[in-house]
Amino acid sequence: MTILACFTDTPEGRSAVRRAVEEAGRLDSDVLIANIDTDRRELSLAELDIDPAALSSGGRTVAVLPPSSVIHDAADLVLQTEQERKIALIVLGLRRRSRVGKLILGSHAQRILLDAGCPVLTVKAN
Amino acid sequence: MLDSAMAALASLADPALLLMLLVGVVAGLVMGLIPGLGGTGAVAILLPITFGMEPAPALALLIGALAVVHTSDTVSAVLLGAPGSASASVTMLDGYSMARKGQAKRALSLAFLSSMAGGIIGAVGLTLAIPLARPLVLSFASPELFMLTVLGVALAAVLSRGNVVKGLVAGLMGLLLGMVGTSPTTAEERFTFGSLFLGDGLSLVAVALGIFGLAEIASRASQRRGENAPVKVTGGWGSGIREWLTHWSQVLRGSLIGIWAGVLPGVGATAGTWLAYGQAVATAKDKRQFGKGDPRGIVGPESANNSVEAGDLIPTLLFGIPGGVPSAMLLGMLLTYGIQPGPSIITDHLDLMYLIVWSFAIASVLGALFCFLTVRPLASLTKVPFAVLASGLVAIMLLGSFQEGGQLGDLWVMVLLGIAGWVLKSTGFPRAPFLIGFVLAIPLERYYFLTDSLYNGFEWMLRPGTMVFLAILVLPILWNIFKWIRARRRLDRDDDPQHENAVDAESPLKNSTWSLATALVVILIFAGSLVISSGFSPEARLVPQLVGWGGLIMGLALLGQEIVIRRRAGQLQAAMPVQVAAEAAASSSVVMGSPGSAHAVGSTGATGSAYTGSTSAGPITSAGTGTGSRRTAGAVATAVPSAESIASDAPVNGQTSAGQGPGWTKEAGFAFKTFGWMAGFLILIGILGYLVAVMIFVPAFLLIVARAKTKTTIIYTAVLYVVLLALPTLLPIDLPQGWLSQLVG
Repeated sequence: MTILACFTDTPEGRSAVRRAVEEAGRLDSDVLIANIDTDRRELSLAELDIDPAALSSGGRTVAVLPPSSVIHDAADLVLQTEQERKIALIVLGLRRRSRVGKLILGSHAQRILLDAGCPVLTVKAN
Repeated sequence: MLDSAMAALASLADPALLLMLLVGVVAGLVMGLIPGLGGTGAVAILLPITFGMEPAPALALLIGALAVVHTSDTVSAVLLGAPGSASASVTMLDGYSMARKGQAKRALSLAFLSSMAGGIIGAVGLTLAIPLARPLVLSFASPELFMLTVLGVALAAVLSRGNVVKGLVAGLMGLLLGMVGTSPTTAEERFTFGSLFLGDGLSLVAVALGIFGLAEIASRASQRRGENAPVKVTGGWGSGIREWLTHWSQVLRGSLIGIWAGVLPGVGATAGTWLAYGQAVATAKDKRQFGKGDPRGIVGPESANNSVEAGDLIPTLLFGIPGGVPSAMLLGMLLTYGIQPGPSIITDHLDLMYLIVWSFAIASVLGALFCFLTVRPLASLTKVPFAVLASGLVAIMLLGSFQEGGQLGDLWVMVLLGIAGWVLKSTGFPRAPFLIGFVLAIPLERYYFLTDSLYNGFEWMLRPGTMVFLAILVLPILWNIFKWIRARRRLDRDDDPQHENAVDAESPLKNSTWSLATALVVILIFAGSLVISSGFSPEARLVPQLVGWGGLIMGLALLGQEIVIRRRAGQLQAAMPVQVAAEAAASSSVVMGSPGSAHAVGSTGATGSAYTGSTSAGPITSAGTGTGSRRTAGAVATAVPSAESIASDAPVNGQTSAGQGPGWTKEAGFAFKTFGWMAGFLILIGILGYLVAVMIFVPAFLLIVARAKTKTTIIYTAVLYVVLLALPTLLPIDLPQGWLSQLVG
């Protein structure tokens, strides 16, 4: 069983990663972290200030999803990963976006919520 | 309207016209296979051949080539995993994976059929655009046309991939270059430095072939080895063809996206195909197979990249605003025939419009058919190393740009612009706005003065059409300011345009000393143009001064950006190995001594000397940029897994190795060496004449630079010589005569 955490370099994104690790401890599952921020760089576990030891003591792992050269849209990336790796839960940070903003720029969160085949847990910035 | 459409179809039954179309299709297919040429190269190389022809066969030839370039570029992407053009890199994602599974025929048949359908749907779109746009176009007067030209350059600059400031700088530089020559209003000479040769303005073919063709050759000539052995063409054609039919909706969607991407100036085939791919992924229920051989990942993008070229033609023909680089050249060609694209083409030359439409559709079908029949030979052609192709291409391109004016000066302009194009490409400037600006410079000025003399003051701005265009121009600027303010408050993290500054495969010298120097040179050029243009009469002065001021402001903004990036990078990598600096210094001094590298600098002397200057200053500023860690995946069309991208990804986390650092890189050295070779070739042409010069240049380049086998060299040179000898009798082409033969004659 794996939990997919959607990271962005924002309070919401960090909060999502933190919550995903908590959930993993509770549900006894692995954590996979996808960087869906605009830069899509490869994350290092060190910068996420999470403690992999807490999980690995139970035989569980924390991993980072390598950047994809194929898929550029954040929502598609999350959905593809979900289908491919049989993800049990997606944890996602939410933030407010105006109607106009959503009209023009769309909303990744909405697409993930509607199209995902597994439960999605959304968290706010605190 | 139907009459003229049918009449155009009937005219294509003329064997001479049909033959031209066939020649165009074959040429386009071959050029699609050569990496880096694409539609731009195809039109630029074929354009000179058409100079002696009537408009109809000339258009059939060019459209035939343009329509099929994106059909054959798939072959190398699918069989080798090395895309023939940037837009085919999208097809590679799924096509190459499919081919490796032994389903090459399935992938290729999907791709060819989609290309064909994309071309046909594009042609249909072009046809439908004529009656739709006709009333609109006919209501346009000079104020609207003026606004359209401004919009054409501005949109190309803003919508091109990458940094907006760089796009605007490139567009303004193009405008400035386009103004070299005689002013359209006062007939006085501008920026000619007293030269009679520059008085006619620069030749479009020379500019396009320089900025795109030669620059591409220089940046790729270091590829001495051919690609790896291609995947075997296995599998069945039938299954692919049947499967293609089930994906008809993807074909339709991809084509429509392509047409739309084509209509927007500056959004070319590359962006269009990525949009189509993104669309295919987004609408697919099951996304698991994308990147691993999903047919939908081939069908959508392949339809899009062919229909982009048709979409490009819509604004080109109806408004006179080129939607892309190949159509900018087509526009230039129509102008030389006295056919003014825009409202008048609809009233006076509707037959030519429909001829273009039919040629496009027929060429698409023929192109796909040829590809099906000749996959094997096409695949083996892709094994030829680029360095070997380069020598022949240089000879042909130089011959091509000689045709327009018959002057050797055009060839020097071409090589100089080749250097400029290479610098622009390497430092991440989009080059499409440059060429679009170059083509639109004179129309822009002419429409402005027409408007100015017909209307009192700024009355023309109140015309509804003008106001709409003004809104299109201004609203994105306001939107960007709004976004910038929000980004300041860090509310809009994921809309932050930071990733535009990331280094990518196409532009390895971004954020380096090179781009800093480029910014400085840009400022110098625009400041110089301001100084020079202040001596013109008030009417001839207005537009150059406006462009000069705009360019100066943009140049300063660019410099500011570069300095900010540099400072940030400096903080990231305070500790920088001293050894790198030393090696950079050593390599730069070596290059200064190498023949012809820094000497091939004439009127853009400022450019060349600034670079050599900046490289010798390299050690001080060559601290790495650290953006290597900020990978390529962010920007839309950059995830091309190539040797270059590996090279640019290598200096991750501050470990900049010498040779890949931002100073004088190995690639830069090679590019300048190639330009040195080109300059040497030109000198030979000047002294000995073209044919003799080819006999010396081609074998020398093959043996020394490309390191080809002696046997290959002899055969290659002999074939090229025979072809060049036969060419003037087949086509209306002049070979440059040398100083010696003139002496004898």
